[in-house]
Amino acid sequence: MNPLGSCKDMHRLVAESMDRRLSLVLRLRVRAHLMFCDACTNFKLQMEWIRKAMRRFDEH
Amino acid sequence: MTNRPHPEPDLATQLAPLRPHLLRFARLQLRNDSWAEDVVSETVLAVLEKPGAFGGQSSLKTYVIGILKHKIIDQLRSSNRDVHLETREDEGDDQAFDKLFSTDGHFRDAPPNWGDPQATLERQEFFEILQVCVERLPAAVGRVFMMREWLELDTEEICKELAITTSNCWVMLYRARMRLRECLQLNWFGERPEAMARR
Repeated sequence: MNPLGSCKDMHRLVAESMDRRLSLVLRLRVRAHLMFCDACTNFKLQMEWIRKAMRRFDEH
Repeated sequence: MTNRPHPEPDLATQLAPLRPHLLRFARLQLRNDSWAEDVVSETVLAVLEKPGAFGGQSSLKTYVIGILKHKIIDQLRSSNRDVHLETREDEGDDQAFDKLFSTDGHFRDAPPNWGDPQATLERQEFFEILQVCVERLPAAVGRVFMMREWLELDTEEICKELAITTSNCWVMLYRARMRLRECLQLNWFGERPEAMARR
C-alpha cells in the first residue's frame, strides 16, 4: 500500500478542501502526495480553475 | 424645482437589456422559472426605487448583479422549507466516479493540465459552455454549487439555509465539481489539444 495514499482517496480530499478545512494530518498527507503525483496536482489545478471561472461568470 | 433631468427613465432604459442576463443567473441558481422571474422583477424594482444608490463606481451590470444576489439569498432563506432537495437523485454518481480509477486507485486517464485560465476566461464562448455544464448538473447539486461558487456562501451557511447536514453538503459539492470537470474536459478542453499538451 502506498503510504502517500491512492489517487482515488486523494482526489476526493482535494475536491473537499475547496469546501472545508481539512485536518492538519490530512493536509500534510495531501501535500506529500501532490509532490509526487502529476495527475492529482493537475486535478487540484482543475478544481482551482473552475473556481476562478465561477468568480468571473457574472461578467459574461 | 430644479431642471435636473429625472434619472429614472434613463436607468430603466439601461436596465432593460440586462434583464435576460439576470434571468439566466437567477434560473441557474434557483432552478425554478417563476421564482427566477420574481426575483429579477424585485431586483429591477429595487434599483429603480433608489436611482441615487448607483454611484457609478462599478458598471451598472455589476451593481445590479450584486443586488440580484442579495435578493436571491433572501429568497433562498424564506423558501427553504418549500424547497424539496432531492439529494439522492444522483447516487449513481459515486460509482461513475469510481470508474475513473483503476483497482489500485490510480487515475485511468490522468487529468490533463488545463493551462493558464487567464486567456480562456476572457472568452465569451467558454462561459457559454460553462453555463451549459452548470445547467446539466442535477437541480439540487446545481443549486448548492451555485450557492457556494456564485453567491460565495460558506459551506456551513449553505447547510443551514437548506437544512441539510454538512457531510451531505460536501458530497453534493464534490459531485458538482466532478461533473463540471468532466463536462468542461469533454466540451471545452477536449477540442483544444494545445491546452492539454502543456504540462
